Parts: sequence; structure tokens; C-alpha cells
Amino acid sequence: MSDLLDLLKRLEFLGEEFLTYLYVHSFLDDGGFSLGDGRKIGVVAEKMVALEGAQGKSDSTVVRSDELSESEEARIALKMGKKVSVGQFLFAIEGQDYRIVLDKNLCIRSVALPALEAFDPLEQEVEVFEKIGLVEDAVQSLFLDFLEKRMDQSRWSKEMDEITAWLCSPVEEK
Amino acid sequence: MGNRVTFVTYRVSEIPSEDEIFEGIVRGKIGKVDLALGKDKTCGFASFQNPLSTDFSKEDLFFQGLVFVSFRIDRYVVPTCTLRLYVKERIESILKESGRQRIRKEEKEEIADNVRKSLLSKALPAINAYKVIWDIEKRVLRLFCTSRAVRDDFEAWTHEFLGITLSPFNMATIVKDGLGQNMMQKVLHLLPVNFGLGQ
Repeated sequence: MSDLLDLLKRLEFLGEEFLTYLYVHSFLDDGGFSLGDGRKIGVVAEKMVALEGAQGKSDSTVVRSDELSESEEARIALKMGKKVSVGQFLFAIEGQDYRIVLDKNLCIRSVALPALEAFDPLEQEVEVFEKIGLVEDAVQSLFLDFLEKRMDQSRWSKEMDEITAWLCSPVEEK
Repeated sequence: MGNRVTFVTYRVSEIPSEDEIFEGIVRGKIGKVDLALGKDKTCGFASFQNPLSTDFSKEDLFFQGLVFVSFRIDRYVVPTCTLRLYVKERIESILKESGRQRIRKEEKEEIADNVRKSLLSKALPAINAYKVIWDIEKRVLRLFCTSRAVRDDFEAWTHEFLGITLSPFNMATIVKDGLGQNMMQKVLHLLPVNFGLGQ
């Protein structure tokens, strides 16, 4: 168990990078992610994002907004080098929407599930269990896909360019 | 959209047989609190559908390849203000009976302890039951609670009675399960990037 804790501590920066990548990408190309196995997962950052700088929680910025893509505060924090430590995302998986709160250790803090189809209480529990599994599988697949990009210099360089371009783009005002 | 759930998902170290799981759950069922020994808390397994019951049957525990059980924690609590009033009453009664003016600190502590035990024996426990669902074959278990203290009790209890070790689903388990040794080494050599614009 302590091996896993050490590994988690060592990889913490990758969790922040992944959430930041997810956050920015959710505003690009309608937030769609195409995975290597052909699956498509829609991701939209919404309502709440917490960003941390090098000092950790002591210099964190928490932004709550119905339109995070238009949040100047979140964008400034990112430009200052802060990374996403906790975010609320809407995941569209197999045509259904799941609202999740995900932290930098990739622990899912909560999930709002779509309406259940089962009627029997025990079958509803099974359905909840399976639906949570779909969300965890999506997080795992997205993270492994991110890691592949992250380790490929040319692909990662392209990602970084896209993220920088988004950060430099003007905030759309309605 | 509704039905917001909080939980922790674990990877389970082993795949025990249904018989081993059943026996472990029966052995680890919640028992009575031993108040005489000064304990005020107990924990253990209880029925999923009715957490007040510890009568297990395989039909109740196993459904569609999953294990359904509750992890229950009973805690006896005497509110501080209630305890203070009863201790005060007891001390006044002792002083009156003995004709003394004061009572020693050690004696006061002993009285408070006895009064607390006496009140605990009359109290009803605060019962909290947390749902547990376990996919045996996939080695995935979910505890529908995120409290650190509850998780610690649950992890220790399952280890003691089911002989399993639980590792929470997080980035470390994703990397360990999802990457080969070569990829893992590459990941461990990555350095942080800066998305900022140097402002």
C-alpha cells in the first residue's frame, strides 16, 4: 500500500496536468475526445474549478461560474502557471450525461448519475454500480490516452500549442 | 439528472470463493459494544437490505455476481452537557452523604467515568450503515462513504475477516494496472510542464 502512496505522490503533477488538459480541451472542438479504441467521450468543464500554484492549497484559486469558458479569473490563474487541482466535469458516455467532481489524484469525489432504468431496488443498485464503472473506465481511458500523448514529444508539443493558443485567445463575451 | 453518489472504489487484492466470502462476512458481523470495558463503538458487517439484521443467507449476499453487504458502525455517545449534569448530581449526593466539603480530583474523575458508563448502558447507539457492493471477478469493491475514519475501519475489518487488501482507485492504481513496466519507467521519468505564459 505504501508503494502506491509513494507512486501517487510522485505522479501528482501528472494528475494536475491531466485535469488542466481536460479543462482546456473541454472548450475546444466541443470537448469531444476520441480514444484509441474508437470510443468517443464528451467532456465539458462546468460550474467549478480549483487551481493550485506551486505553493499548493495556500495559493489556490477557486472559480465558480455557469460559464467557465468565459471565466477571466480561471484563465488568468492558468496563465500564471496554476494548474487544475479539482474540477467539475460533465462526461457524455454512450449518450448519457454524468456530472463528476474529479481531483488531481483522479479520485472521483462524487457523480451525479443519469436517470436509472431499473425499477427493482436491488437492480437499481446494480445499475448504479455499473454506471459508476463506466465513469471510472472513461477517466482511466482518458488518462492513459493523455499519458500516451504526454510521452510522445511531437504530439505533446502540438497539445501544448493548442493550450497556449486557447489561453491567449480573447474571452468570448455574450 | 439526479442521484448524486459519493463513494470510494477499491481494487481488491484477491478473488476469494463465495464460501470464503460468506464465512468471512458471518465471522465479521457487527457485535455488541462491550460497555463494561469502556468501549463506546463497534463495527462490522450487517445485511444490505436491512442493516439492523445480521442474519445472512447466501441468497441475500450474492446477486448477479456481486456481493451486497452493509458496513455498520454503532457508537454510543453521552452528550457532554448531559454527562456534566449527572456528574454534578452524583457529586452533590456523595458530599451530602459523607458530610465532606470537597472531593479529590482523582475521585471526581472516577465518578465521571462510572456515571458515563451507567448512562451509556441506558443509551441507544447512533447507527450508521454504509452500502458495500463488490464485483468479485472484476476485483472491484465500492464503499458508499468517503469519510477517512470509516474507510480506515472498513479496510482493517475486510483485511481481518475477508483476508483481502483494498487499494483505492486513483492515479497510482490506473498507472500500475494500465501500463507495462517499460511505459511505467517512461512515466516515472517525465518532468512537470508549465502551461503558464510567464505572467
